[in-house]
Amino acid sequence: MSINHETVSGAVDSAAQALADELVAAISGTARSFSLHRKVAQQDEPVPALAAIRVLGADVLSAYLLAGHAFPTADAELVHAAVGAFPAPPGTAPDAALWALRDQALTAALAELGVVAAGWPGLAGTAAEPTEAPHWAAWSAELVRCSSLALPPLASPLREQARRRRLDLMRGVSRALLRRDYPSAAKLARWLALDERQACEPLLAPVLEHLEFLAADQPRTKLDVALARRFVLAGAES
Amino acid sequence: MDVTMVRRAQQVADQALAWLGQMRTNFALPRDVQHWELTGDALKGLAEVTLAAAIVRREAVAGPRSAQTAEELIDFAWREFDAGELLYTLLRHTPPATHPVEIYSHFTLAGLRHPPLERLAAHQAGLRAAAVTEHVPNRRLAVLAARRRLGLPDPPDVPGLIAQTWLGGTPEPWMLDTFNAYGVTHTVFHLTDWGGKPEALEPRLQDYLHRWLPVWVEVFAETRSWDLLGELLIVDVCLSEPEWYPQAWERLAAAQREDGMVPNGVTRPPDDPGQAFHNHNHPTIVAAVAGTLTVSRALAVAS
Repeated sequence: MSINHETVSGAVDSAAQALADELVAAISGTARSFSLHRKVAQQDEPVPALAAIRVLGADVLSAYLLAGHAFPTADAELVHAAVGAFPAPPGTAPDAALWALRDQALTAALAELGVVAAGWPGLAGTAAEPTEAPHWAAWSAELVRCSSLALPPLASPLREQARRRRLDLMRGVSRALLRRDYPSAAKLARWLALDERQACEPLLAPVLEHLEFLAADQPRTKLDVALARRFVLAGAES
Repeated sequence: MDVTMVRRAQQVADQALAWLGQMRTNFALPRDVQHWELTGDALKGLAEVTLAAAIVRREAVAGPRSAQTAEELIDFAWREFDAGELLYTLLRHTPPATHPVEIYSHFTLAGLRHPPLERLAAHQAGLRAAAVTEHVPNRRLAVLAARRRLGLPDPPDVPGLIAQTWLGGTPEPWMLDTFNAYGVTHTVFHLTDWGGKPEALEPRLQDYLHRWLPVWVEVFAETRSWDLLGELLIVDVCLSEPEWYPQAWERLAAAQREDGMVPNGVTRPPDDPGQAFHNHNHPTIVAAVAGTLTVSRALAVAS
């Protein structure tokens, strides 16, 4: 999934990493407050910061959904602006189905926060659910791409599959770790953590610790690990 | 299991065996050194090709040409070891060494025996020293397998020996590296006597391998580690319920050269087979064993 309009090479990626770092602090409880619009206002280059909101998708709302941070109207307006500034590609684009799933996650997360996003210009249209791949490697690769759907309030067919195919998920995590692909490993660990309470995976705890040590310099990977930790904690407390 | 996969395995084994047969003089022991100066490397290739040929003979699923090649390789190796006399001499020269008995045990799979060596081995197996050789854990199982082939009693704590191996510890699957992967494969080979007794691998370890072998096959196929991939495919058919891995077999078959040699996937093989022999005879031996055992298990399951 690519974001166009990048004026300086790598600027969007840097902004996404910075935003991920902020989210980790907000989710983990080390930051007292979190506000998207204040973060963007602090940036010298607001355009990449706006793009970063689109890159992280529903994950930008995780601090409000999971860690009790207030969701001000200004933040909702900023997400609205990001969607408009960086619209989903047409339905005929090769990655249109992926955009549709990610925007479905964003819309559902906004709804949880009381914001009706239906009809916002720039949101992807609906798409057919991807066919469930029988082979664990292909299936887990799909779950990596759709990891923003792995948020506690969101229901989806992929979540049902993830609840059912625990061994396949763990195989995907192991393969990713063996390939030193820590971002993918963290996204799959996040899926594992989502419904950990109903389907316990003993290897999840060492996986999360392993990633915290080996991917300490990768903010987006740290965000997925922090979210996974939060899911496990919430599951244990509920 | 699909028929195409079995045909592919048969084809890989036949071609690998043909190459090994053509290259057999390269396995010859050096003529210009004393027996006590024979290095592990010099003995290793001959010992391994003996094992491969003995497995082809034991499984009895090869066509006439491959079966004939296997017989010729066993005869050749037995002559190189002077009908076991050289191994007996090595054992008498260095009694604590375990490799003479390990190599000799390959010949017993093919029904070849050297009674004086077996009597000496039986004596040594009863010594306290036999229990404390400074080996890596999976090598202890190689010694155990050799003792079993000779009909000697097991040492007192076989579960303890297994528990010391990487596989026996059932570690986190992502902590596998190449060195430990070879430890896993050999632990399975020795405990099941190269697929001869799949049930000899305890259910706990079978379950562990069913869970994680698919990951390792995927990773080592992707890295084109043909030698290790071949060994992992052998592990699969050493289990009570193999998965078969048809895609991995396709990739291994595609990697095999027209002359039958299977490259190791790490170093680029020279065009001259003689020059390629040193680095690539092992993956070719592995391919011959993997193909043979796969065909044999497939026929057993189908019958």
